[in-house]
Amino acid sequence: MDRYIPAYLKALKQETLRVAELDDKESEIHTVFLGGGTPSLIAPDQLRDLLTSIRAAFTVRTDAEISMEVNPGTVTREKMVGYQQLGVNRVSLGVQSFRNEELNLLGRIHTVDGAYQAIESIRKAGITNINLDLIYGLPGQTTDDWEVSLRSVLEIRPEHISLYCLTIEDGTPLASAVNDGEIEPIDEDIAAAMYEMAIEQLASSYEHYEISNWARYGDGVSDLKCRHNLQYWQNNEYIGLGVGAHGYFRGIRYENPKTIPEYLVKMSSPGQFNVEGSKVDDAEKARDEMLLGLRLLSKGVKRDEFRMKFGKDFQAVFAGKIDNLVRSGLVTWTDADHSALVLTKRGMMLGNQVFMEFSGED
Amino acid sequence: MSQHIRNFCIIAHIDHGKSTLADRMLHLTGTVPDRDKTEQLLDSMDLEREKGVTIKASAVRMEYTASDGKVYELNLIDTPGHVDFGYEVNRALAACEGALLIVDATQGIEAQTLANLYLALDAGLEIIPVINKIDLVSARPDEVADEIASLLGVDAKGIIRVSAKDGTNIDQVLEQIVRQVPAPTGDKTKPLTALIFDSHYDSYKGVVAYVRVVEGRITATDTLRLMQTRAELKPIEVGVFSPVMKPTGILEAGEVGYIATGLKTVSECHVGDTITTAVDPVLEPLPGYRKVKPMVFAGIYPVEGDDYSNLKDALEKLQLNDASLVYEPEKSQALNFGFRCGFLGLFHMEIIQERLEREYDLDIVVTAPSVEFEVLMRDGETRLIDSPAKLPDEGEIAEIREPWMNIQIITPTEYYGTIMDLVTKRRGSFSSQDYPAPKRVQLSFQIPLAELIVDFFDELKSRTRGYASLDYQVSDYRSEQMVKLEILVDDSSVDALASIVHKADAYHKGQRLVTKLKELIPRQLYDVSIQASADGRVISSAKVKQLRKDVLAKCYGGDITRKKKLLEKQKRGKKRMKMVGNVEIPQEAFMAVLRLGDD
Ligand SMILES: Nc1nc2c(ncn2[C@@H]2O[C@H](COP(=O)(O)OP(=O)(O)OP(=O)(O)O)[C@@H](O)[C@H]2O)c(=O)[nH]1
Ligand SMILES: [Mg+2]
Repeated sequence: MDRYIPAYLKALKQETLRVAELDDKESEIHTVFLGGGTPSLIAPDQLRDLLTSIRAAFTVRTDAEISMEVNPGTVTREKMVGYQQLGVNRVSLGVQSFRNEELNLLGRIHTVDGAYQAIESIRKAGITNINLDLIYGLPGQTTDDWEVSLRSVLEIRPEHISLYCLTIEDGTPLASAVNDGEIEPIDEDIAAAMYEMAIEQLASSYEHYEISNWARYGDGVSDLKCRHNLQYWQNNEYIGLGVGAHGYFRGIRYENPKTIPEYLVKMSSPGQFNVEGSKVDDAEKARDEMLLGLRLLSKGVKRDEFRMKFGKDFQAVFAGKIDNLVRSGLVTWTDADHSALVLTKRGMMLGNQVFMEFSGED
Repeated sequence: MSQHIRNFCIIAHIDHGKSTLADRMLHLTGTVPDRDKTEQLLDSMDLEREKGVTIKASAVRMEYTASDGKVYELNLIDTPGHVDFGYEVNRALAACEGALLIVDATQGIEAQTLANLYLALDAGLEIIPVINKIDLVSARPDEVADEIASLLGVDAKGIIRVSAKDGTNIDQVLEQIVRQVPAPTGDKTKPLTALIFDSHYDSYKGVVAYVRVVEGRITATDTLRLMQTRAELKPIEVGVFSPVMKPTGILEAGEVGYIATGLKTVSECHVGDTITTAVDPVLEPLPGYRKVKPMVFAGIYPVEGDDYSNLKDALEKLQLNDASLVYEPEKSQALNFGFRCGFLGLFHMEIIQERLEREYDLDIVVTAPSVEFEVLMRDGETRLIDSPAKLPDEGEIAEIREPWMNIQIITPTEYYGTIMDLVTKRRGSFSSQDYPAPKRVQLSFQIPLAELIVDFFDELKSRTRGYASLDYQVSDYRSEQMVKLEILVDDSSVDALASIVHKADAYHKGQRLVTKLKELIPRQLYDVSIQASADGRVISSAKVKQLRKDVLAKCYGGDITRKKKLLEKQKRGKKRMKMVGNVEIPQEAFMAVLRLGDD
């Protein structure tokens, strides 16, 4: 793995330059997210190189959110200081749980103590915007267990919290343990209770602004929502760089090669470079606008914004669908003027039932 | 003239190697080059190849130079061995003078060996027994030869032993066909009579009729007349199967081949009809066939109402290839417009269902199969009821008569007890027993057909580790205490989920059905209640709790595409379900009655 890093970083710089060349709009970059895998494995020196090429290739705003996904097992104070000096101003820490037993089940290398130490190192390095990632709905987990993690997060008071329900992905060790009957996946009702519990307990200090994301109520000056994620939900474009990265650029949703060797080959091959993927046509884009936008719980999808983007009214575009969803109590209007559509509390629990209506052609 | 023609079919119990033996003969006669390594060449349907089972009989012509130096025209018809398809065998027999009776050397005589043998003897065919699979280490050719010898009254030593797999002794089979199967009688100068023994539909050539010319000749320029339907036609093409359709322009007395009729509808071209010419017609048609009687009935509905006419077209086309399929329009309160279809058995039903889904790309719902009851009304009228939904009100019914079957099970003696137990549990009764071979017993029972169609065969196979075989015939109708078991979803009765069951079983079945439905019906936006009731009494109820949480959380590094794919998949799953009132019911639920198991 390590021996790939120099070649990989070289290819990454190459890709950055080539993508920037394609960008005739000369977009301003307002968020950079270093994530996927364990980016905190790279040394600050290497990161400097990378950020320098990004800044050279694109216009990165001075107030840009520069986030880094960090695995608690890889944190040292020096590294964090190094990152901070390079401009990293937000860290997303994959603590997953505040119970060692659960960390074990998830196959994590860190411990609860390790997580606390990591948080302290990040803070001491001067990074003031921290997100903690937590997972609930683990096989065998009880609501009491979950409460332990929730309580711990509330004590830490991070700026941002992401809570994900465990999905057992095919091909993982967990999936085979479930198939072999060694482990029983959690009951849907218990998982639901955990989610509801989190919503309730976080409500006083955090804004639940997206289905699985919470931002600490600000001091009135800064908004602590994750700007990078908002980019996705607001159906805006983003550039994905690096192995397996996903992007939405020039109207195309694309995915980079999934393995490092394939990626290296692609980025070093001479000739015309382009992002390759599927072109999102207007109809699909309008559907995306709904299924992504509705994830934003208080904002939802605004009628006037939709009209600005697509030149049509969303009720006209989605015929009876919206009315049906309103009738079934899954979505609702924010006001009597029907100026925006948002998920109801029920709709938030059953988001897929809503999003499904806007996915694919009928 | 027809001295050089031999018409024969291959009959056997399922999987004894008919189609494989046909392959070897096609290779040995050079009809198909040896390099063509496709196995079971005559099983041309995708479904046949996949399941390794012949569903439809097929005909093929071969040329063979016998040891006497003469060239013979051999017309082979491969038949299916599954019990549901006995009628296909029956039709093939009428086109032949001889039959190869294949017996698997590891299995010996089984239920359809006997059943098909008797059919062939009834049809007056010359029988040539052949022991197959002698290459297998578990083969017991001597024992099997003795079994056959005592069954047919022939000399055990004279029975040909082959391996269709490696080709051993196939030449002997061909020689014996030439020597033992009589040449067809028939005069090509007489007026034409030809029997339609099968058909299939070809989108270019219309209905292709498979014919056996009995007297006279058919040429491509004749105007032909179908005696039953009185339709007249000019054939588009006349030819033989070798093994693909090959035009010859002429078919003469004794020969087997095809006529591409150009007809577009099945109603004009019945299997079993007699063909003659318009200019010189005969007066008497050939005997033809008994119309096959369907044994089980089920509703087939499109998931999407818009597909109704596509479903209708598809059934029409399937009927061209499968004369035993019957259907008529029906309307269900729950499922709307569809068809009540009659099948020869459950396997036949599954085949039709799969063909509709695969060959015609239809999403369909098939309801639980039912048998046909005779219902005697208080006013003296007798009605035939093949659908629980059509059962009249209890008050109007004087008596319900249920179809009973005679069944024969051939099994190694050690399974005697478990089979007895199975049959008794299913309301059956013992009739007699017989020992066709040492350590093997043939048990005869009587049992209601309704009990037979609900996974009886699977259960029999599993209890006997696959060693038992089964054959059945209709016996009679008996007055029984039957009741309608209704299923209510959200308090309204769903006609498509109803069944007619014996009163003594109603409670038990109702409970298990509700439990099963609760498993099968997914949680929805609202609570769904499920109840079973019979005789106006609720037997069992359960609730499918409303969906509480269904939302994809994480978006891995902006992978919106994957998220959308997952949603699309979920949406497709939802679309395949049938909306009944406000409740989405998956296709499997309508067949739940079949999946209750024995306990
Ligand atoms: N070892 C061995 N296997 C054989 C022989 N003949 C057939 N088989 C195998 O037996 C199985 C059934 O053969 P088929 O030819 O499909 O049998 P069938 O009688 O046509 O079956 P149905 O049409 O379904 O009734 C296949 O797996 C064949 O490969 C043989 O001589 N030796
Ligand atoms: Mg076969």
